[in-house]
Amino acid sequence: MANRDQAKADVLQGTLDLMVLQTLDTLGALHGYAIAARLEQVSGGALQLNMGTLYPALMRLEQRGLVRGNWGTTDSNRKARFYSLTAAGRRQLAEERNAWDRMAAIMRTLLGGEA
Amino acid sequence: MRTLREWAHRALGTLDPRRRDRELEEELRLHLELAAEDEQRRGQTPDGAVREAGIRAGGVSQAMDALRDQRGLPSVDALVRDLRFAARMLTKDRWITLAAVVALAIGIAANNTVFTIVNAILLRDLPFDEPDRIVAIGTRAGNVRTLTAGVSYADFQDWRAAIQTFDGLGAMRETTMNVGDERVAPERFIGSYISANAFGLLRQRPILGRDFLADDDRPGAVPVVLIGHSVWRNRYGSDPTVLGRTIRVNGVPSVVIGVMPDGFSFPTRSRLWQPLALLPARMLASRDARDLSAFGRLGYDITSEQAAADLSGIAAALAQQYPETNRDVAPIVAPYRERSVGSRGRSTLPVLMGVVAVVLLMACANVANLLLARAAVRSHEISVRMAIGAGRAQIVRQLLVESLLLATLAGAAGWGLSLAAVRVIASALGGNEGLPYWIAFTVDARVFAFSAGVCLATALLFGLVPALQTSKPHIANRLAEAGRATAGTVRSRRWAHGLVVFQLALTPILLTGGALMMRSIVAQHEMDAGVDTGRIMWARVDLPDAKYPAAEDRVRFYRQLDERLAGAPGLVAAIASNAPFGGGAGRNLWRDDEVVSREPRRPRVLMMTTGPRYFETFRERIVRGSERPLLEAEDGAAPVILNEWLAATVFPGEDPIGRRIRLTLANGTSPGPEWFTIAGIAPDIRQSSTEDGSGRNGVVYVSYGTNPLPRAAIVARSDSDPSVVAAVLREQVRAVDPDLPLFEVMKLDDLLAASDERVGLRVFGTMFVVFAVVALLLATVGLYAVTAYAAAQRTREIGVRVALGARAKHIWWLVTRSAAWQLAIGLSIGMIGATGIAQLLGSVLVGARATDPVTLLAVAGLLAVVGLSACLLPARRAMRLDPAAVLRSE
Repeated sequence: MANRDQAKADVLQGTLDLMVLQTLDTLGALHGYAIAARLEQVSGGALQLNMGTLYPALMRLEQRGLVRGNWGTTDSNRKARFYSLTAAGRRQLAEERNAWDRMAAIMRTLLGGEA
Repeated sequence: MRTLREWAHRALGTLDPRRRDRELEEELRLHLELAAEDEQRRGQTPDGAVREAGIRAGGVSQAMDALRDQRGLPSVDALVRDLRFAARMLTKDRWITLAAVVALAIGIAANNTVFTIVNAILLRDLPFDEPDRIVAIGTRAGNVRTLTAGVSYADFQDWRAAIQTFDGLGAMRETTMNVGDERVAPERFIGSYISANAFGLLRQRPILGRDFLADDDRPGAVPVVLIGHSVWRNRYGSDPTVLGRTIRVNGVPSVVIGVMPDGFSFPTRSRLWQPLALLPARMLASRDARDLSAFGRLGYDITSEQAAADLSGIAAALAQQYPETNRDVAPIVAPYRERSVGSRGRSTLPVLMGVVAVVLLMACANVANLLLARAAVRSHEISVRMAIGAGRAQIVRQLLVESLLLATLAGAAGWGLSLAAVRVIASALGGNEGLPYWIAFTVDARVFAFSAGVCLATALLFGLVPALQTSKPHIANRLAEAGRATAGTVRSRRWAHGLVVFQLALTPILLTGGALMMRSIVAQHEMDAGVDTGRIMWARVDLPDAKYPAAEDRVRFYRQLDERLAGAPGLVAAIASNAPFGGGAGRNLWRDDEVVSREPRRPRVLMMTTGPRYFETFRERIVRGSERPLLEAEDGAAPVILNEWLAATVFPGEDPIGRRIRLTLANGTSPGPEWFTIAGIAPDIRQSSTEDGSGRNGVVYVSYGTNPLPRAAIVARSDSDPSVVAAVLREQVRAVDPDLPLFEVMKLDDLLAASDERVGLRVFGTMFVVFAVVALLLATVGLYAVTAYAAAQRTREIGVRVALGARAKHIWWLVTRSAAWQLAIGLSIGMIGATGIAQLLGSVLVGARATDPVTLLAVAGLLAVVGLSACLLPARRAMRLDPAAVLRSE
């Protein structure tokens, strides 16, 4: 069981960062739960992010200087940590999106050709 | 770059973990609350919503674990965990730990000790500015490639004038200087006559006063002297007004112009320096008197080879100009260190370094075996850890951390041990008095780095194999078999055997070396002088040239001293140039019916200069003829006494008494009288040093009347206390010349024991022997442990065999078979290596041949016996097993 979780996390590792960055770029500053809810909504419920996966990812992005976390208050007036993109995060997003697009195009062509 | 930043943050993340934990938990709790609210909105009951949120988002504690891993430095955390665990394991198996630490500490201490000495003597920079550019310059005789002779003053001046490749050439002669002044009793110091530019070349300046100027070093200049810091402090109470004062140096009134820095004793142990121009006139005048040591500072970008070529060109020109004196003189440029560190030291120390490395390897092999054995016991624990998800890398890391901790403990113990050992060795080598001033056996950064490196390498060496071996992923097998006592796979047993063979192969190499060294030491001690040296006192006296310039002055002094010694109460005393074993002046001997030529193969003899009663002092008798004429220099032919061996060799079957001989220098000239008449035959007393092999040597004794040397010694036999004898001798000398100090006053046996080569061989030889014995112990313990362990593991099998009717003989063979194989293989490899080490040590040995079959056989025999007795105990234990008890215990 531990192994399956591990495998899932590995798959996510590369794409999760990109997804988080894109979400923050689209919606602006968000707290952790909002990011998770948004990703779940976009994926139609397919992507349910465990806290143990999401928050270490956010911390990693913060440590790398791609996002910045600030304490603020939610609509319901509760204290929460809001994450927003830094300039470096925006650049990184652009780079990774290009790389992803290229990769996706290659995959599409490849898979389409085989089908 | 990004990862760098991440790691910086992670490092920061190790600070103030509690506050950060609180914040993170708050964040996670909010997440769960919001998730639960969403669930409720979707129609869940409040309780169900909380449960559902927990399922979707996961638990807080798991998330916190993941966050902490991301936040801090995982390797540091893990390392601390590993260290704590390792410490627990080491305390749990404290006997194994103790055994391993002791073995490794001995190995590490041996390496530290030898490296501290090697560093001080061979590696550390000489205390000069840009030490690599300072080279020693000498001349060589024949084809020898080392510095064998010095430079004459005249040659030095010509070299200095013509040389292009050096920034400058300096020269000096270290000798003894008697200092006298109005205030304190005369004292004798080691001092040097030195060229005025020398300190400038070394970039050393006086701390007080001025350096020599070129004008100080001209004939007729006012004599000046620079004094060392210790002389300034001890004799003049650090009084700055000593500058400008006139003191008597070897009787010459000299003006003190400066004080050199503390600890500066160039070239080796000098405390005073005077310009070269104050050297005795005969050294300044004769192109043949090659008594100076020269050195130079290489010019910018000049290699030592270029400098040597330049110098050779100049020397060749001089040889053409002065063929009489310079025909065979070839200059040689060598690293400065070579002047102070003899060839024996340069060849012995690297060998010792290799020896201690081998000792450490053996200690590592032993500890590796210990860990392999323990690994078998621990395999269950490790299997369990792997089964619940620990990776092999983690297990290896854990085991290596244990090894590292072990090595660090051993390193600390070994460090303390080596500090003590270095102190003992340093004092045995003569301490500060006996060695050049730049050799100090202290710990510096290089020694420290070496020790740290040794510890690290050690940990890897003994830890890696057991770690890789233990972490082999055969979980199921391990779990299945771990409960039984048959653990220890075939492969790890093979490793253990391999390590023992390795040790057994190294042991004979060290033992042979140690045995040869021991034989050398014994040979040197037994190399009898041929006389009774007990109860003999020894003292030296030097006649300064200033006060005793001419031969007649010195002859007069010796006559007066001899008369006083003859009348001194309670002792028999004589004047002699050298002590037994103390060498002599080398001469070529020619019979009266031979023509003197430059033919090189002449009987080489040692010339001793002695006064009357020399043989009486040693309780010896002249074999034939008489000793009496020894002080009488007669015109025409001076009397000479030959030792028995020489007489029999040069005049076989003839009566040598009354025959005449000539004694010449290697170049055919004779500095003394041309002819000597043989007046007597003396018993054989050994004069040659032990370094030139075991052969007997020819000695000729001439009188002080014939050869009035500027230095002499007094040998005195007395039953009185040494201090009484010393006082009597001092009184006799003072009666003749109140300014002359007597020095090196000691028992002759002590002098012989302290002679350089004996000390070197004794100290280094003893170290070698000690290391060899340690190696033997390590190998024996290793073989015993592996055999005993293997036997213990096969207890069940043996029990079954005995139950089925195996006889004692079979059991014996079963247990010892593999040990016997290991012994046989190890010994065969080792004996080949042993002949190798014997060759390597050839140049160091005295009176023991390198390919000594007795030694080799003895070593092989000893090892076989010790090795077999190491498996005796386990075998006996196995033979006495009670099968019923064994089988029941399973």
